Amino acid sequence: MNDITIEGDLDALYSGAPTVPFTIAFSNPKHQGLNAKFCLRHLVNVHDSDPVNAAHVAFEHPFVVSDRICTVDVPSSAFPRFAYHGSKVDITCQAEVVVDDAIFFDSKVRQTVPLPRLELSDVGLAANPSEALDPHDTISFFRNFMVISFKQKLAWIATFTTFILGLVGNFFLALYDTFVAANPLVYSSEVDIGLFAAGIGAFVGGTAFSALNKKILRTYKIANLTANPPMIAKGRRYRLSDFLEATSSTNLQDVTLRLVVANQECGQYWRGSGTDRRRVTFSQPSRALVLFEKTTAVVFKRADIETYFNDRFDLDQAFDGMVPHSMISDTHGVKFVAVIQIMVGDLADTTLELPFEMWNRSDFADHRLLGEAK
Amino acid sequence: MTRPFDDYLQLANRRLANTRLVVFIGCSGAGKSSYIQHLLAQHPDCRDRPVVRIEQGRPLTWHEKVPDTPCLVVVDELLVMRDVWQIAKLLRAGHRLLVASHLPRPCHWPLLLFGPMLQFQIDRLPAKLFNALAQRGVRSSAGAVDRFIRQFGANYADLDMVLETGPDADLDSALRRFNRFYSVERVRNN
Repeated sequence: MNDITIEGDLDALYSGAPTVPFTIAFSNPKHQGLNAKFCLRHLVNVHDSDPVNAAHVAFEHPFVVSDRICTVDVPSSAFPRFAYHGSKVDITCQAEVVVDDAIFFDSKVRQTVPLPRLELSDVGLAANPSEALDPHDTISFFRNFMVISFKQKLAWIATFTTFILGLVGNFFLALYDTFVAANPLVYSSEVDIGLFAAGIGAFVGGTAFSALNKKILRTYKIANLTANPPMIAKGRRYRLSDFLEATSSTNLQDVTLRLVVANQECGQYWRGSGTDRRRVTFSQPSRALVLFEKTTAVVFKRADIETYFNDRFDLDQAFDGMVPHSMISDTHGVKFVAVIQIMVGDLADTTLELPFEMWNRSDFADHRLLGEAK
Repeated sequence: MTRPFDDYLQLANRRLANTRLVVFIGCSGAGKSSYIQHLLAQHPDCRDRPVVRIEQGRPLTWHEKVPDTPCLVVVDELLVMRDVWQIAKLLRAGHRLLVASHLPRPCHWPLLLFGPMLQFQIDRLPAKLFNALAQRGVRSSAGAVDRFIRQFGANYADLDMVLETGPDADLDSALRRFNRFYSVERVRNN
Protein backbone atom coordinates (compact mmCIF):
# COMPACT_ATOMS: atom_id res chain seq x y z
CA MET A 1 0.00 0.00 0.00
CA ASN A 2 1.21 3.47 -0.80
CA ASP A 3 2.42 5.64 2.09
CA ILE A 4 1.23 8.80 0.41
CA THR A 5 -2.12 9.54 -1.23
CA ILE A 6 -3.27 12.64 -3.10
CA GLU A 7 -6.84 13.77 -3.53
CA GLY A 8 -7.86 16.91 -5.38
CA ASP A 9 -11.21 18.65 -4.97
CA LEU A 10 -11.92 18.88 -8.69
CA ASP A 11 -15.46 20.10 -8.08
CA ALA A 12 -13.82 23.38 -7.11
CA LEU A 13 -12.07 23.44 -10.49
CA TYR A 14 -15.26 22.68 -12.41
CA SER A 15 -17.25 25.29 -10.49
CA GLY A 16 -14.74 28.02 -11.26
CA ALA A 17 -13.20 28.52 -7.80
CA PRO A 18 -9.93 30.49 -7.87
CA THR A 19 -8.02 27.69 -6.13
CA VAL A 20 -8.32 23.92 -6.02
CA PRO A 21 -7.39 22.28 -2.69
CA PHE A 22 -5.32 19.08 -2.84
CA THR A 23 -5.31 16.93 0.28
CA ILE A 24 -2.15 14.89 0.80
CA ALA A 25 -2.25 12.08 3.37
CA PHE A 26 1.00 10.69 4.81
CA SER A 27 0.39 7.35 6.52
CA ASN A 28 4.07 6.62 7.24
CA PRO A 29 5.14 8.38 10.51
CA LYS A 30 8.76 8.48 9.21
CA HIS A 31 7.70 11.21 6.78
CA GLN A 32 6.78 13.63 9.56
CA GLY A 33 9.05 16.67 9.72
CA LEU A 34 10.66 15.99 6.33
CA ASN A 35 10.77 18.34 3.36
CA ALA A 36 8.33 17.57 0.59
CA LYS A 37 7.27 19.08 -2.72
CA PHE A 38 3.94 19.19 -4.52
CA CYS A 39 4.09 19.60 -8.26
CA LEU A 40 1.45 19.96 -11.00
CA ARG A 41 2.62 19.05 -14.49
CA HIS A 42 1.14 19.27 -17.95
CA LEU A 43 2.25 16.26 -19.96
CA VAL A 44 2.35 15.62 -23.67
CA ASN A 45 2.71 11.91 -24.41
CA VAL A 46 3.53 10.98 -27.97
CA HIS A 47 1.87 7.83 -29.34
CA ASP A 48 4.91 6.03 -30.66
CA SER A 49 7.10 3.05 -29.86
CA ASP A 50 10.08 5.38 -29.27
CA PRO A 51 8.56 8.66 -28.14
CA VAL A 52 10.05 11.92 -26.90
CA ASN A 53 7.49 13.07 -24.34
CA ALA A 54 7.42 16.51 -22.77
CA ALA A 55 6.38 17.92 -19.42
CA HIS A 56 5.80 21.45 -18.22
CA VAL A 57 5.72 22.24 -14.51
CA ALA A 58 2.75 24.55 -14.09
CA PHE A 59 2.79 24.77 -10.29
CA GLU A 60 5.29 23.84 -7.60
CA HIS A 61 4.92 24.10 -3.83
CA PRO A 62 7.63 23.03 -1.36
CA PHE A 63 6.45 22.35 2.18
CA VAL A 64 7.36 20.52 5.41
CA VAL A 65 5.28 17.48 6.38
CA SER A 66 3.89 18.74 9.68
CA ASP A 67 0.81 16.57 9.99
CA ARG A 68 -0.73 13.35 8.69
CA ILE A 69 -2.91 15.43 6.39
CA CYS A 70 -1.53 18.43 4.51
CA THR A 71 -3.43 20.70 2.13
CA VAL A 72 -2.03 22.56 -0.86
CA ASP A 73 -4.13 25.18 -2.67
CA VAL A 74 -3.39 25.12 -6.39
CA PRO A 75 -4.50 28.11 -8.50
CA SER A 76 -7.13 27.10 -11.07
CA SER A 77 -5.09 28.87 -13.75
CA ALA A 78 -2.36 26.24 -13.33
CA PHE A 79 -4.60 23.50 -14.76
CA PRO A 80 -5.08 22.81 -18.45
CA ARG A 81 -8.73 23.41 -19.27
CA PHE A 82 -9.22 19.99 -20.83
CA ALA A 83 -7.58 16.65 -21.48
CA TYR A 84 -6.77 15.95 -25.11
CA HIS A 85 -6.55 12.48 -26.63
CA GLY A 86 -5.51 12.66 -30.26
CA SER A 87 -4.20 10.23 -32.82
CA LYS A 88 -0.56 11.19 -32.28
CA VAL A 89 -0.42 12.94 -28.89
CA ASP A 90 -2.26 13.10 -25.57
CA ILE A 91 -2.28 16.09 -23.25
CA THR A 92 -2.87 15.22 -19.63
CA CYS A 93 -2.24 16.68 -16.21
CA GLN A 94 -0.44 15.00 -13.33
CA ALA A 95 -0.06 15.83 -9.65
CA GLU A 96 3.05 14.61 -7.87
CA VAL A 97 4.27 14.62 -4.27
CA VAL A 98 7.90 13.86 -3.45
CA VAL A 99 9.17 13.45 0.11
CA ASP A 100 12.89 13.99 0.65
CA ASP A 101 13.48 10.84 2.71
CA ALA A 102 16.46 9.25 0.97
CA ILE A 103 19.68 10.20 -0.79
CA PHE A 104 18.82 8.62 -4.13
CA PHE A 105 15.28 7.26 -4.23
CA ASP A 106 12.84 9.62 -2.55
CA SER A 107 9.29 8.46 -1.80
CA LYS A 108 6.94 9.81 -4.41
CA VAL A 109 3.43 9.40 -5.68
CA ARG A 110 1.94 10.53 -8.96
CA GLN A 111 -1.66 10.82 -9.90
CA THR A 112 -3.34 11.79 -13.12
CA VAL A 113 -5.77 14.68 -12.63
CA PRO A 114 -9.03 13.75 -14.36
CA LEU A 115 -9.98 16.64 -16.64
CA PRO A 116 -12.98 16.84 -18.95
CA ARG A 117 -12.61 15.97 -22.62
CA LEU A 118 -13.42 18.55 -25.24
CA GLU A 119 -16.58 17.77 -27.19
CA LEU A 120 -15.91 19.21 -30.63
CA SER A 121 -18.25 19.58 -33.53
CA ASP A 122 -17.26 17.52 -36.57
CA VAL A 123 -19.51 19.47 -38.95
CA GLY A 124 -17.69 20.47 -42.12
CA LEU A 125 -14.36 18.87 -41.19
CA ALA A 126 -12.05 18.40 -44.17
CA ALA A 127 -11.53 14.76 -45.10
CA ASN A 128 -7.81 15.35 -45.62
CA PRO A 129 -6.55 17.96 -43.12
CA SER A 130 -3.00 18.01 -44.55
CA GLU A 131 -4.29 18.78 -48.03
CA ALA A 132 -6.65 21.46 -46.70
CA LEU A 133 -3.86 23.22 -44.82
CA ASP A 134 -1.22 22.81 -47.50
CA PRO A 135 -2.84 22.30 -50.91
CA HIS A 136 -0.57 21.17 -53.70
CA ASP A 137 0.91 24.19 -55.45
CA THR A 138 1.43 23.63 -59.16
CA ILE A 139 3.87 26.15 -60.54
CA SER A 140 4.67 26.74 -64.19
CA PHE A 141 8.16 28.17 -63.87
CA PHE A 142 8.19 29.80 -67.30
CA ARG A 143 4.79 31.49 -66.92
CA ASN A 144 5.65 32.58 -63.41
CA PHE A 145 9.02 33.97 -64.50
CA MET A 146 7.37 35.97 -67.28
CA VAL A 147 4.92 37.73 -64.93
CA ILE A 148 7.43 38.94 -62.34
CA SER A 149 8.88 42.42 -62.74
CA PHE A 150 12.07 43.16 -64.68
CA LYS A 151 13.86 43.93 -61.39
CA GLN A 152 12.81 40.57 -59.92
CA LYS A 153 13.88 38.81 -63.12
CA LEU A 154 17.33 40.33 -62.67
CA ALA A 155 17.32 39.29 -59.00
CA TRP A 156 16.47 35.72 -59.98
CA ILE A 157 19.21 35.59 -62.62
CA ALA A 158 21.76 37.03 -60.14
CA THR A 159 20.77 34.48 -57.47
CA PHE A 160 20.95 31.60 -59.91
CA THR A 161 24.34 32.71 -61.27
CA THR A 162 25.74 33.13 -57.75
CA PHE A 163 24.56 29.67 -56.81
CA ILE A 164 26.12 28.03 -59.89
CA LEU A 165 29.41 29.96 -59.54
CA GLY A 166 29.54 29.11 -55.82
CA LEU A 167 28.85 25.45 -56.52
CA VAL A 168 31.47 25.11 -59.25
CA GLY A 169 34.05 27.19 -57.33
CA ASN A 170 33.52 25.19 -54.15
CA PHE A 171 33.85 21.92 -56.03
CA PHE A 172 37.15 22.87 -57.67
CA LEU A 173 38.48 24.27 -54.40
CA ALA A 174 37.61 20.98 -52.69
CA LEU A 175 39.34 19.00 -55.46
CA TYR A 176 42.42 21.25 -55.25
CA ASP A 177 42.63 20.98 -51.43
CA THR A 178 42.07 17.24 -51.41
CA PHE A 179 44.31 16.09 -54.20
CA VAL A 180 46.76 18.88 -55.13
CA ALA A 181 47.53 21.41 -52.41
CA ALA A 182 50.35 20.75 -49.95
CA ASN A 183 48.78 23.35 -47.65
CA PRO A 184 45.01 23.21 -48.19
CA LEU A 185 43.29 26.57 -48.43
CA VAL A 186 39.98 25.67 -46.78
CA TYR A 187 39.29 21.95 -46.56
CA SER A 188 42.15 21.02 -44.27
CA SER A 189 40.37 18.78 -41.76
CA GLU A 190 41.18 15.11 -41.91
CA VAL A 191 37.56 14.06 -41.39
CA ASP A 192 35.64 16.68 -43.32
CA ILE A 193 37.64 16.16 -46.43
CA GLY A 194 36.97 18.28 -49.47
CA LEU A 195 34.44 16.34 -51.50
CA PHE A 196 32.27 15.71 -48.50
CA ALA A 197 32.33 19.40 -47.58
CA ALA A 198 31.62 20.30 -51.20
CA GLY A 199 28.55 18.07 -51.06
CA ILE A 200 27.34 19.80 -47.89
CA GLY A 201 28.00 23.18 -49.54
CA ALA A 202 25.98 22.17 -52.58
CA PHE A 203 23.10 21.04 -50.38
CA VAL A 204 23.09 24.27 -48.34
CA GLY A 205 23.40 26.38 -51.49
CA GLY A 206 20.67 24.41 -53.21
CA THR A 207 18.31 24.78 -50.25
CA ALA A 208 18.99 28.54 -50.04
CA PHE A 209 18.44 28.93 -53.76
CA SER A 210 15.24 26.92 -53.64
CA ALA A 211 13.87 29.19 -50.87
CA LEU A 212 14.89 32.39 -52.67
CA ASN A 213 13.55 31.02 -55.95
CA LYS A 214 10.03 30.61 -54.49
CA LYS A 215 10.24 33.99 -52.77
CA ILE A 216 11.11 35.75 -56.00
CA LEU A 217 8.49 33.87 -58.01
CA ARG A 218 5.79 35.00 -55.56
CA THR A 219 6.56 38.68 -56.11
CA TYR A 220 4.00 39.04 -58.91
CA LYS A 221 1.61 39.83 -56.10
CA ILE A 222 1.91 41.61 -52.78
CA ALA A 223 -0.20 40.22 -49.98
CA ASN A 224 -0.18 41.32 -46.35
CA LEU A 225 -2.39 41.22 -43.31
CA THR A 226 -4.16 44.52 -42.68
CA ALA A 227 -2.46 46.88 -40.24
CA ASN A 228 -5.23 46.57 -37.63
CA PRO A 229 -7.11 43.33 -38.18
CA PRO A 230 -10.20 42.91 -35.96
CA MET A 231 -10.39 40.48 -33.04
CA ILE A 232 -12.09 37.33 -34.25
CA ALA A 233 -15.03 36.43 -32.04
CA LYS A 234 -18.03 34.15 -32.17
CA GLY A 235 -21.25 35.58 -33.61
CA ARG A 236 -19.56 38.27 -35.69
CA ARG A 237 -19.35 38.45 -39.46
CA TYR A 238 -16.31 39.40 -41.47
CA ARG A 239 -15.10 40.18 -44.95
CA LEU A 240 -11.73 39.04 -46.24
CA SER A 241 -10.80 42.69 -46.64
CA ASP A 242 -10.86 42.92 -42.83
CA PHE A 243 -7.73 40.77 -42.78
CA LEU A 244 -6.13 40.97 -46.20
CA GLU A 245 -4.59 43.60 -48.48
CA ALA A 246 -3.34 42.19 -51.77
CA THR A 247 -2.57 43.49 -55.23
CA SER A 248 -1.14 41.90 -58.31
CA SER A 249 1.25 43.31 -60.89
CA THR A 250 -0.37 41.23 -63.60
CA ASN A 251 -3.82 40.01 -64.61
CA LEU A 252 -4.63 36.81 -62.75
CA GLN A 253 -6.89 33.99 -63.82
CA ASP A 254 -8.64 31.39 -61.70
CA VAL A 255 -7.90 32.96 -58.34
CA THR A 256 -9.14 31.07 -55.29
CA LEU A 257 -9.10 32.53 -51.80
CA ARG A 258 -9.62 30.28 -48.80
CA LEU A 259 -9.62 30.76 -45.08
CA VAL A 260 -8.63 27.53 -43.39
CA VAL A 261 -8.28 26.71 -39.70
CA ALA A 262 -6.58 23.57 -38.47
CA ASN A 263 -5.18 21.80 -35.47
CA GLN A 264 -1.73 20.32 -35.69
CA GLU A 265 -0.61 17.68 -33.22
CA CYS A 266 3.03 18.38 -32.37
CA GLY A 267 5.66 16.18 -30.79
CA GLN A 268 8.83 14.24 -31.37
CA TYR A 269 9.99 10.64 -31.65
CA TRP A 270 13.16 8.72 -32.37
CA ARG A 271 13.98 6.63 -35.39
CA GLY A 272 16.98 4.55 -36.43
CA SER A 273 19.45 2.59 -34.37
CA GLY A 274 22.74 2.85 -36.26
CA THR A 275 25.51 5.41 -35.94
CA ASP A 276 23.07 8.26 -36.24
CA ARG A 277 19.66 8.35 -34.63
CA ARG A 278 16.99 10.64 -36.02
CA ARG A 279 14.91 12.86 -33.78
CA VAL A 280 11.78 13.47 -35.85
CA THR A 281 9.77 16.57 -35.01
CA PHE A 282 6.23 16.55 -36.34
CA SER A 283 3.34 18.98 -36.54
CA GLN A 284 0.74 16.78 -38.17
CA PRO A 285 -2.62 18.32 -39.14
CA SER A 286 -5.34 16.41 -37.31
CA ARG A 287 -8.46 18.52 -37.96
CA ALA A 288 -9.12 21.20 -40.54
CA LEU A 289 -12.04 23.36 -41.57
CA VAL A 290 -12.33 25.39 -44.74
CA LEU A 291 -14.32 28.37 -43.46
CA PHE A 292 -14.34 30.42 -46.64
CA GLU A 293 -13.65 29.47 -50.23
CA LYS A 294 -14.39 31.36 -53.40
CA THR A 295 -12.97 31.36 -56.91
CA THR A 296 -13.07 34.22 -59.35
CA ALA A 297 -12.23 33.90 -63.04
CA VAL A 298 -10.17 37.08 -63.43
CA VAL A 299 -8.49 39.63 -61.18
CA PHE A 300 -7.17 42.64 -63.04
CA LYS A 301 -3.71 43.95 -62.45
CA ARG A 302 -3.19 46.58 -59.76
CA ALA A 303 -6.70 45.93 -58.41
CA ASP A 304 -7.18 45.05 -54.75
CA ILE A 305 -7.60 41.30 -54.86
CA GLU A 306 -9.67 41.16 -51.68
CA THR A 307 -12.41 43.34 -53.19
CA TYR A 308 -13.28 40.48 -55.56
CA PHE A 309 -14.12 38.40 -52.48
CA ASN A 310 -16.46 40.74 -50.68
CA ASP A 311 -18.87 38.17 -49.23
CA ARG A 312 -19.52 38.27 -45.51
CA PHE A 313 -18.95 35.14 -43.49
CA ASP A 314 -18.68 34.06 -39.88
CA LEU A 315 -15.95 32.00 -38.27
CA ASP A 316 -18.09 30.37 -35.57
CA GLN A 317 -17.31 26.86 -36.73
CA ALA A 318 -13.66 27.38 -35.77
CA PHE A 319 -14.63 27.95 -32.15
CA ASP A 320 -16.87 24.87 -32.03
CA GLY A 321 -14.75 22.47 -34.07
CA MET A 322 -11.17 23.28 -33.15
CA VAL A 323 -8.97 22.75 -30.12
CA PRO A 324 -7.51 26.07 -28.95
CA HIS A 325 -3.75 26.55 -29.11
CA SER A 326 -2.31 24.28 -26.39
CA MET A 327 1.46 24.02 -26.76
CA ILE A 328 3.41 23.15 -23.62
CA SER A 329 6.78 23.69 -25.34
CA ASP A 330 8.02 24.76 -28.78
CA THR A 331 7.74 21.20 -30.02
CA HIS A 332 4.95 19.52 -28.02
CA GLY A 333 1.23 20.08 -27.81
CA VAL A 334 -1.63 21.00 -30.09
CA LYS A 335 -1.30 24.00 -32.36
CA PHE A 336 -4.15 26.10 -33.69
CA VAL A 337 -3.38 27.58 -37.08
CA ALA A 338 -5.50 29.83 -39.28
CA VAL A 339 -4.35 30.76 -42.76
CA ILE A 340 -5.56 32.72 -45.75
CA GLN A 341 -4.53 30.94 -48.93
CA ILE A 342 -4.30 32.81 -52.22
CA MET A 343 -4.16 30.18 -54.95
CA VAL A 344 -3.59 31.25 -58.53
CA GLY A 345 -3.72 28.73 -61.40
CA ASP A 346 -0.18 27.72 -62.26
CA LEU A 347 1.50 30.64 -60.47
CA ALA A 348 3.09 30.39 -57.03
CA ASP A 349 0.51 30.46 -54.21
CA THR A 350 0.73 32.58 -51.06
CA THR A 351 -0.28 31.75 -47.51
CA LEU A 352 -0.77 34.29 -44.73
CA GLU A 353 -1.18 33.21 -41.14
CA LEU A 354 -3.72 34.77 -38.77
CA PRO A 355 -2.03 34.45 -35.36
CA PHE A 356 -3.91 32.80 -32.51
CA GLU A 357 -3.79 36.08 -30.55
CA MET A 358 -6.39 37.42 -33.01
CA TRP A 359 -8.92 34.82 -31.86
CA ASN A 360 -11.05 35.46 -28.82
CA ARG A 361 -9.83 32.76 -26.44
CA SER A 362 -12.98 32.70 -24.33
CA ASP A 363 -15.17 31.72 -27.31
CA PHE A 364 -13.53 28.31 -27.70
CA ALA A 365 -15.32 25.17 -26.61
CA ASP A 366 -13.08 24.57 -23.60
CA HIS A 367 -14.46 27.66 -21.88
CA ARG A 368 -17.81 25.96 -21.63
CA LEU A 369 -16.26 23.00 -19.77
CA LEU A 370 -15.00 24.74 -16.67
CA GLY A 371 -16.41 27.74 -14.90
CA GLU A 372 -14.47 30.95 -15.11
CA ALA A 373 -12.14 31.57 -12.17
CA LYS A 374 -13.52 34.37 -10.06
CA MET B 1 7.72 -7.24 -40.35
CA THR B 2 10.91 -8.82 -41.72
CA ARG B 3 11.33 -8.26 -45.44
CA PRO B 4 13.36 -10.59 -47.68
CA PHE B 5 16.91 -9.32 -48.22
CA ASP B 6 17.31 -7.42 -51.48
CA ASP B 7 20.69 -8.28 -53.03
CA TYR B 8 20.65 -5.13 -55.15
CA LEU B 9 24.44 -5.30 -55.68
CA GLN B 10 24.05 -8.87 -56.95
CA LEU B 11 26.93 -10.17 -54.88
CA ALA B 12 25.41 -13.64 -54.39
CA ASN B 13 27.08 -15.06 -57.49
CA ARG B 14 30.20 -12.95 -57.36
CA ARG B 15 33.49 -14.57 -56.28
CA LEU B 16 34.89 -12.83 -53.21
CA ALA B 17 37.54 -15.38 -52.23
CA ASN B 18 40.35 -13.35 -53.75
CA THR B 19 39.03 -9.97 -52.65
CA ARG B 20 40.95 -8.73 -49.62
CA LEU B 21 38.63 -5.88 -48.78
CA VAL B 22 34.93 -5.21 -49.40
CA VAL B 23 33.79 -1.73 -48.37
CA PHE B 24 30.15 -0.68 -48.12
CA ILE B 25 29.92 3.10 -48.08
CA GLY B 26 26.85 5.01 -47.03
CA CYS B 27 25.05 7.05 -44.44
CA SER B 28 23.54 5.62 -41.26
CA GLY B 29 20.59 3.38 -42.06
CA ALA B 30 21.72 2.69 -45.63
CA GLY B 31 21.98 -1.05 -44.97
CA LYS B 32 25.78 -1.48 -44.77
CA SER B 33 25.67 -3.72 -41.72
CA SER B 34 22.70 -5.66 -43.12
CA TYR B 35 24.64 -6.37 -46.30
CA ILE B 36 27.61 -7.59 -44.29
CA GLN B 37 25.30 -9.80 -42.22
CA HIS B 38 23.84 -11.19 -45.41
CA LEU B 39 27.28 -12.02 -46.82
CA LEU B 40 28.34 -13.70 -43.58
CA ALA B 41 25.18 -15.80 -43.54
CA GLN B 42 24.75 -16.61 -47.23
CA HIS B 43 27.80 -16.01 -49.35
CA PRO B 44 29.90 -19.15 -50.01
CA ASP B 45 33.15 -17.18 -49.67
CA CYS B 46 32.19 -15.65 -46.32
CA ARG B 47 29.98 -18.04 -44.37
CA ASP B 48 31.26 -20.73 -42.00
CA ARG B 49 34.55 -18.93 -41.46
CA PRO B 50 36.13 -17.59 -38.30
CA VAL B 51 34.95 -14.03 -37.97
CA VAL B 52 36.24 -11.27 -35.72
CA ARG B 53 34.00 -8.26 -35.25
CA ILE B 54 35.29 -4.82 -34.52
CA GLU B 55 32.49 -2.55 -33.46
CA GLN B 56 32.75 1.00 -32.28
CA GLY B 57 35.89 0.41 -30.17
CA ARG B 58 38.94 2.63 -30.28
CA PRO B 59 41.01 1.80 -33.33
CA LEU B 60 44.23 1.56 -31.33
CA THR B 61 42.89 -1.62 -29.76
CA TRP B 62 41.85 -3.23 -33.03
CA HIS B 63 44.98 -5.32 -33.45
CA GLU B 64 44.53 -6.73 -29.94
CA LYS B 65 41.15 -8.15 -30.89
CA VAL B 66 42.34 -9.87 -34.04
CA PRO B 67 44.29 -13.14 -33.88
CA ASP B 68 47.60 -13.55 -35.71
CA THR B 69 46.22 -16.21 -38.04
CA PRO B 70 44.43 -14.78 -41.09
CA CYS B 71 40.68 -14.54 -40.63
CA LEU B 72 37.67 -12.58 -41.81
CA VAL B 73 37.43 -9.27 -39.96
CA VAL B 74 34.22 -7.25 -39.91
CA VAL B 75 34.64 -3.54 -39.15
CA ASP B 76 31.18 -2.26 -38.32
CA GLU B 77 31.80 1.49 -38.34
CA LEU B 78 34.62 3.25 -40.12
CA LEU B 79 34.01 6.87 -39.17
CA VAL B 80 37.23 8.85 -39.36
CA MET B 81 40.07 9.03 -41.84
CA ARG B 82 42.77 8.04 -39.35
CA ASP B 83 41.13 4.62 -38.89
CA VAL B 84 41.92 3.80 -42.53
CA TRP B 85 45.47 3.33 -41.30
CA GLN B 86 44.23 0.59 -38.94
CA ILE B 87 42.48 -1.11 -41.84
CA ALA B 88 45.77 -1.01 -43.75
CA LYS B 89 47.53 -2.67 -40.81
CA LEU B 90 44.95 -5.48 -40.71
CA LEU B 91 45.28 -6.02 -44.46
CA ARG B 92 49.06 -6.14 -44.14
CA ALA B 93 48.66 -8.82 -41.46
CA GLY B 94 46.91 -11.00 -44.07
CA HIS B 95 43.28 -10.66 -42.96
CA ARG B 96 40.29 -10.27 -45.25
CA LEU B 97 37.96 -7.44 -44.31
CA LEU B 98 34.31 -6.49 -44.67
CA VAL B 99 33.94 -2.82 -43.78
CA ALA B 100 30.92 -0.55 -43.25
CA SER B 101 32.23 2.94 -43.89
CA HIS B 102 30.93 6.49 -43.55
CA LEU B 103 33.92 7.99 -45.36
CA PRO B 104 33.84 9.22 -48.95
CA ARG B 105 34.97 6.81 -51.62
CA PRO B 106 38.42 8.38 -52.34
CA CYS B 107 39.47 7.82 -48.72
CA HIS B 108 39.64 4.07 -49.36
CA TRP B 109 41.69 4.25 -52.55
CA PRO B 110 45.09 3.96 -50.77
CA LEU B 111 43.99 0.52 -49.52
CA LEU B 112 44.23 -0.81 -53.07
CA LEU B 113 47.96 -1.06 -52.41
CA PHE B 114 47.25 -4.07 -50.16
CA GLY B 115 45.31 -6.18 -52.65
CA PRO B 116 42.07 -6.46 -54.60
CA MET B 117 39.31 -4.30 -53.16
CA LEU B 118 35.62 -3.80 -53.92
CA GLN B 119 33.79 -0.71 -52.75
CA PHE B 120 30.12 0.07 -53.08
CA GLN B 121 28.48 3.44 -52.45
CA ILE B 122 25.14 2.04 -51.38
CA ASP B 123 23.31 5.26 -50.52
CA ARG B 124 23.27 6.64 -54.05
CA LEU B 125 21.52 3.79 -55.88
CA PRO B 126 18.07 4.61 -57.28
CA ALA B 127 17.54 0.91 -58.13
CA LYS B 128 17.85 0.01 -54.46
CA LEU B 129 15.20 2.54 -53.55
CA PHE B 130 12.87 1.40 -56.35
CA ASN B 131 13.20 -2.21 -55.09
CA ALA B 132 12.49 -1.12 -51.52
CA LEU B 133 9.44 0.86 -52.67
CA ALA B 134 8.16 -2.10 -54.69
CA GLN B 135 8.55 -4.37 -51.63
CA ARG B 136 6.48 -1.91 -49.63
CA GLY B 137 3.86 -1.54 -52.38
CA VAL B 138 4.55 2.17 -52.83
CA ARG B 139 4.57 3.90 -56.24
CA SER B 140 7.04 6.60 -57.09
CA SER B 141 8.16 8.84 -59.90
CA ALA B 142 11.85 8.92 -60.84
CA GLY B 143 11.89 12.58 -59.78
CA ALA B 144 10.72 11.76 -56.26
CA VAL B 145 13.35 9.02 -55.90
CA ASP B 146 15.99 11.49 -57.10
CA ARG B 147 14.80 14.15 -54.63
CA PHE B 148 14.73 11.61 -51.82
CA ILE B 149 18.30 10.48 -52.54
CA ARG B 150 19.54 14.07 -52.64
CA GLN B 151 17.82 14.84 -49.35
CA PHE B 152 18.44 11.65 -47.35
CA GLY B 153 20.57 9.25 -49.39
CA ALA B 154 19.20 5.89 -50.55
CA ASN B 155 18.63 4.40 -47.13
CA TYR B 156 15.92 2.28 -45.62
CA ALA B 157 15.79 4.04 -42.26
CA ASP B 158 14.82 7.38 -43.76
CA LEU B 159 12.55 5.78 -46.36
CA ASP B 160 10.53 4.08 -43.61
CA MET B 161 10.59 7.30 -41.60
CA VAL B 162 9.05 9.23 -44.51
CA LEU B 163 6.53 6.58 -45.56
CA GLU B 164 5.17 5.96 -42.08
CA THR B 165 3.99 9.55 -41.76
CA GLY B 166 0.89 8.98 -43.81
CA PRO B 167 -1.23 6.60 -45.77
CA ASP B 168 0.12 7.84 -49.10
CA ALA B 169 0.53 5.18 -51.75
CA ASP B 170 3.23 7.16 -53.55
CA LEU B 171 6.58 8.57 -52.51
CA ASP B 172 5.90 11.96 -54.14
CA SER B 173 3.03 12.76 -51.76
CA ALA B 174 4.78 11.26 -48.74
CA LEU B 175 7.93 13.30 -49.36
CA ARG B 176 5.96 16.49 -49.87
CA ARG B 177 3.99 15.90 -46.69
CA PHE B 178 7.16 15.05 -44.74
CA ASN B 179 8.95 18.21 -45.84
CA ARG B 180 5.93 20.34 -44.97
CA PHE B 181 4.99 18.94 -41.57
CA TYR B 182 8.05 17.07 -40.28
CA SER B 183 11.71 17.82 -39.64
CA VAL B 184 14.64 15.62 -38.70
CA GLU B 185 17.65 16.19 -36.55
CA ARG B 186 20.44 13.61 -36.68
CA VAL B 187 21.99 12.77 -33.35
CA ARG B 188 25.19 10.74 -33.23
CA ASN B 189 25.00 7.62 -31.07
CA ASN B 190 27.93 7.55 -28.71
